[in-house]
Amino acid sequence: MRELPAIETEVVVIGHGATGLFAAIELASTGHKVLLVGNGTPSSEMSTGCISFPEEETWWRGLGLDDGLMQDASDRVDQGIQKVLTVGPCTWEGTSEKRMALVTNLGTIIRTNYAPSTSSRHDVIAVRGAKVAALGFQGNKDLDPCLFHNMLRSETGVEASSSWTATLPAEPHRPHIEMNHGVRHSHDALSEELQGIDADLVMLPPFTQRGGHDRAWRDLEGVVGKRLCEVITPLSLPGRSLVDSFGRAALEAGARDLNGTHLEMIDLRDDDVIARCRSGLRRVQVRAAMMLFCGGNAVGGGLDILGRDVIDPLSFFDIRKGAAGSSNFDMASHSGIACDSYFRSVRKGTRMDKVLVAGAALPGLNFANGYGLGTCLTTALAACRAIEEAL
Amino acid sequence: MPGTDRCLKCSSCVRACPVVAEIGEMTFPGPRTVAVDAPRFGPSRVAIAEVAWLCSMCERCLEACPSRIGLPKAMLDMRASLFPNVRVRPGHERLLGNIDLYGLSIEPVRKVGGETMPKAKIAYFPGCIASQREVETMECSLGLLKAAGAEVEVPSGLVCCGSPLVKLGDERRCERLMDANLKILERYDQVVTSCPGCTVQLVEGYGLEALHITEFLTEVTGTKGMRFRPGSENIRLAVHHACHLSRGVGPHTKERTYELLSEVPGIELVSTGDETVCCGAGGSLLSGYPDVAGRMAARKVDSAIFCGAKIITAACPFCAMNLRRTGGIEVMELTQLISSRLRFPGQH
Ligand code: SF4
Ligand code: SF4
Repeated sequence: MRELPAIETEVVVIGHGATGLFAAIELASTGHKVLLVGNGTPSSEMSTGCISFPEEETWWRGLGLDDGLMQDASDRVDQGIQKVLTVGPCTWEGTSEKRMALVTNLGTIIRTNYAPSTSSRHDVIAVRGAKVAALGFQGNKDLDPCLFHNMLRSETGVEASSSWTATLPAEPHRPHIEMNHGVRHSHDALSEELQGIDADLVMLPPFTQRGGHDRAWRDLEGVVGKRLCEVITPLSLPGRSLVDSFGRAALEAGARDLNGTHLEMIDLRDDDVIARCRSGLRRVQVRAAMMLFCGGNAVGGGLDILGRDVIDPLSFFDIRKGAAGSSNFDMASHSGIACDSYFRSVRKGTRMDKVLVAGAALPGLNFANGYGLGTCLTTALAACRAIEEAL
Repeated sequence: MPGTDRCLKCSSCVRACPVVAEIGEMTFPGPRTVAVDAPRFGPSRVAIAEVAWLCSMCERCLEACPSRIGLPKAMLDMRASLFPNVRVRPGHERLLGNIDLYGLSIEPVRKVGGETMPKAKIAYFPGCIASQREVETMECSLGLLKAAGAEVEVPSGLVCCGSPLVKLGDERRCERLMDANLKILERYDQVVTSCPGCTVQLVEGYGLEALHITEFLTEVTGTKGMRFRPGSENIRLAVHHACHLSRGVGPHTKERTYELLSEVPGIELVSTGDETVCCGAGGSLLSGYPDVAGRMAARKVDSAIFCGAKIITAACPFCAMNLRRTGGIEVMELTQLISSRLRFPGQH
């Protein structure tokens, strides 16, 4: 297989979900040369997109993480998030007070505890005092406005107006309108319909595709003059706006993104870490002084379900120490990533201190998405500090 | 290889599918249903056969899948298992007829490939479209390759690379074509193509280290030999990243495309936001369902016009042909666009 010219960088970050992007932003904005390797929809895009933190202030204790680094990261993480959220579609609403977010599935409501409001467009925070409406598209089963109305009333006492529209079914087989910057033009009929609704906030089924998604919603909001929210359904990616924000911030900070390239093997036989990656039909080597692995639950070949075991790859990694257990690494290699010389290095009692891990790939952090990503972002900051110390 | 057991049922693939976006889940249920669920617990094979050829093989689902399941490959496996017993679409029937008659997927209108040069070590593989329909692509590609210093020729006797047959699921016919081409191509050190579909087939099917012209011009020769006309008026240009190039051959080709464009003076890139969305030509969709392929292309052209582009370019003759069918905007295949700005010897 053809090898593309190798790429050199200081830090290679594997994974382009919330953790990887947040770390890339942090490292790039402190002047490091960062390269991002990511492939596939990250799990943070499928999360609610809320950022929240566990009740327990020192939640990381018992997870084998470095206490000093985590404490330091935990003190800085709020500030870091605020900085990032000035770029892109999400905004920091300036409070760490816990609030109720209302997220929906087919119009039903799920309660989530979270702090800053970053959930794509699902937080119906404005519900209190605001006039809410739900608009379903006939022929699209993703949002049942009547169900939404009933749920909202029983959960919060708020009366939402609900209606169905046949506007989109004028293009009956296109529930998901293609996304592009020319969105205004394809949404004329819909925006007219929305303008006619007497509400401050309208819930809609998901109908935009990945890539430029929030631009479409913002454009439409601009035309309509109302806040628009997308319901969470099996076809929506609620965390997408957050990930979009982070992605934009990472590029602005100067990180290079090799989107679509995926990691096949970590090679540690050299002084440098070599990430052997695949770009379509070709191979490409990324040579770096350090690697930060943020592959989350979806490592390389993906979350592998073998028999009854759900493989949580790369568990037993430690932010400071790198790998410390062999059976899990063995499993990780089954799920798509092989790591040359790992067994050799462990047998000799040495550690992979050039490969650090953050986010949901850490042992015990696989609950991170349900928890609202705060945990992941904190470990990302801690790992960045460890990298800076090591470089 | 497809690894369909790893499916999380997250629907990222359905969400990413441009055909679902165009004609809806009711008509084309998307990659998960067709390629992952159907083979195991899905509806009858008859029902799946109705929709299995609606996929454009754009690989957006593969790119979106968090488990990196080989969805397009699984889709092809499905087609291959159905193919012998399925009644094919009229367009596919014509395609198969052409293969049997001429060895090309389309009816030839001209003869390609001339006298062989004793020195040439590099074969340019034009593919059916660039040799018979988008002939300018072939001519401009050869011109650019020569300007970059490559000793290149078009071997005579080449037939279709077989990619359309792989996409249809017809493995038997494909083998025959591959044998014929391989005998010719083996004589060269390097094969260069214009069509990304051919590139993928030559690499994966034939085991040749074929390069797409965007790769060859940036990674092998460099562009030093090309001299451009300075001071040409600006063109507002939208880029369409061909699926089989930007995902099939690899995402690095996007960077290569921009690298080439940055050499050309007077180009003002317009960002449309849907550069990597499929135009609908691929995967036998254009031959089988020209209406769907046309609507998908029209949407891309619409968005380019909306964003103020005057020309749209694609590094693929097949995409260029499909986009041009819409008639909405000037379409130039990448090598054609670059050549149009070249300074020819004697020009100042
Ligand atoms: S390859 Fe493209 S058209 Fe085919 S199922 Fe996947 S996303 Fe849809
Ligand atoms: S994207 Fe992959 S994991 Fe998700 S539903 Fe599709 S095939 Fe399954």
